[in-house]
Amino acid sequence: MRSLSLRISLTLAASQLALLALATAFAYAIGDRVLTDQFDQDLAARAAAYRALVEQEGTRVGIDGREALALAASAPRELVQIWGPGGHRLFRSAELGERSLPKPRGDVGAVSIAETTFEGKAVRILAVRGEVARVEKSLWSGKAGESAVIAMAIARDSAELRRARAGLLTGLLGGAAVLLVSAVLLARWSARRGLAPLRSFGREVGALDVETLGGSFDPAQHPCELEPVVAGLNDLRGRVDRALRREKRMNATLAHEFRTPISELRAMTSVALQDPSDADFTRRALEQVHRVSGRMAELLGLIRQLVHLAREEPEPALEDVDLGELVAELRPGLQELADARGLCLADGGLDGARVRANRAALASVCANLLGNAVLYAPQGSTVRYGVRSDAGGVVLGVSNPCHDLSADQVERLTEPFWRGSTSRSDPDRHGLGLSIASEMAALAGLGLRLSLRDATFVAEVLFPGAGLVSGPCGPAAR
Amino acid sequence: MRVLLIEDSPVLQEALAKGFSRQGVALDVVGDGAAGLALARNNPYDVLVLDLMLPGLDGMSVLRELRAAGSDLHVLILTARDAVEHRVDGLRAGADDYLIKPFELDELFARVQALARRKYRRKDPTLRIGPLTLDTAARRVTKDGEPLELTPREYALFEYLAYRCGEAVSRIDIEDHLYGTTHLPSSNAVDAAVCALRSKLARRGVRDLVKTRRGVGYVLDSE
Repeated sequence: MRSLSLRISLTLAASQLALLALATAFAYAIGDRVLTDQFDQDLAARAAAYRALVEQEGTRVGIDGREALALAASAPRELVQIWGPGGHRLFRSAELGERSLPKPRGDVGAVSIAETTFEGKAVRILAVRGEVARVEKSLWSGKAGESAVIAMAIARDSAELRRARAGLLTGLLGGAAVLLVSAVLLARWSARRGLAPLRSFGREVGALDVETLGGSFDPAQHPCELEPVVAGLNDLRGRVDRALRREKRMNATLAHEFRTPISELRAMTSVALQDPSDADFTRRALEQVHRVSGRMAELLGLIRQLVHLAREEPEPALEDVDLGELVAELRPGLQELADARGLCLADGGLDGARVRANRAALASVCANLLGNAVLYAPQGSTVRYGVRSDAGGVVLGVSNPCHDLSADQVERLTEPFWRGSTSRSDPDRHGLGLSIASEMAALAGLGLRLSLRDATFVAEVLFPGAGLVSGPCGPAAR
Repeated sequence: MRVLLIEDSPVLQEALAKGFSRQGVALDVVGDGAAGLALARNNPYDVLVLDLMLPGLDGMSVLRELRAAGSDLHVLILTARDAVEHRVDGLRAGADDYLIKPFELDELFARVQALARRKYRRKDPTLRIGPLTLDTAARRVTKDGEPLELTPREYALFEYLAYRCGEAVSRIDIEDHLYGTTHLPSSNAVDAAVCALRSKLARRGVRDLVKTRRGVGYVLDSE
């Protein structure tokens, strides 16, 4: 069942049906009891009347039973039989003829009422044995004024009681049916009304598109039960929007990155084709075309590498890596550039520092971070690197003085194609190095943290957990 | 026609410099915004071709500063930024045209020519000067349907005088529009060019079209 509203309506209706059934049964039981009691009280009253008559008339009640017969005749659907102290028949209704009602047995004073069949008819019989005071007119033996035990059975056709019960049942069932229909309708209405905010929220979510994704749902406009969902969706919207924007920006930048070299190729070849006899320019154009196309191929390679890294890749194999040894391998190339720029490369202590990592990925990340530091540090300044222990593991830090980056710009450094300068005048910089380093670090399970502290740019590689196998753990480069 | 190109790609600079010079256009090329702004402020360019993403001062800032200083230089933005908002921003900042990279060289020339015509309040690319017809789009001068063989420099000189037909144009003015800042013409370069133009016109029976105004310069007299 896909409709939540219908599901709730049916659940409510089923509960209400069960409650109604119980209530109807309970009401019927009470009603039946009341009707039966009433019937039985009536029988008891009749028995009391007969008893009074016996006390008054004694044995005459059977011999000259006009009053008894009149009493019996007042209830035509009633059969009465009275037995005297000796068990002889004292009185019985004319309708009984030669038939006899069951004679009551048991203790004196005991009254029993039972539902049974008599002569094929459902009757309710009151049976009683009781003492009656003797009277003068009594023909019973014994002294006047002494009591005698008589037995009495009064049977009354219970059709009236059954009809009353049937009426009660019909009334209750009818009422229950009306209540049930009302309850179902009410449940349906309540469910729809109760679920209206959810439907409204669903419509709001359904109406989301790329343009509106950046906003957020107002928690105050939605029921508190939906607050976690609203908060979760808002968070998700924010993340998806940021990812989309980043993707869009990257696509735009990607297109942009190729526009300039394509323009260069087209302009060069167009001018060369205008005058093929200009051999010098044609050769120059061919050289430029070769260079530009090489640059484009390099850019494509970097993009391919980035896309490759961004995909789900199998976890790279980990090994013990000697950080000192790894950086020492990179150092000659770095030192050359550092010397050219008058920089000092300060080793904050890497010897013997061993971490558990993927060597190739770590080498790529370190080469990028150290290369950037040497390239962008102000001339004559110092680039520092070192390892330190951190609460969460081990940190390899690379730092250099930096005066031309803001905190906002640092946040965008790992964004593909982002460059501090808007100019593309340095064709050898594509703005992909840190993006690739970041992806590479993520792939190798390492963290990469870039920050700006007191005009110093700090890049840190985080080795989670017990990354450091052995080695120094002093203060890292800052 | 004299054009300033502010573009930081050395390859594009080289290609456009060659292409424009073949068209007889005096092109000054500069790679950064601040230097370009200084050139644009101090020289009488017909058109400025401006890249947006420049080192130092970016193209939009160059444009805004020019307009703020009251310059009516015709500016064509030549950029890789293709988003509508960029185009709108550029045009709203005072650019006269916007061309997105990659572009066709012919289209760039055509747009630059159109902007130059606009500067001289001409809409028709064909000018009629006496018996001569000057097709500024094809960069060709004809007499009775027969083309005159002019060098790019002679064509540029004739075109400039034709745009200012009837006006006395000084030598310095002509020099400013025929030569870029990197080209230092000899002191009589303008006179020599005028002389060469006159002799080619005379060979086709067109005399006294380019007249000398003593102490002022030259005037193209079509009557």
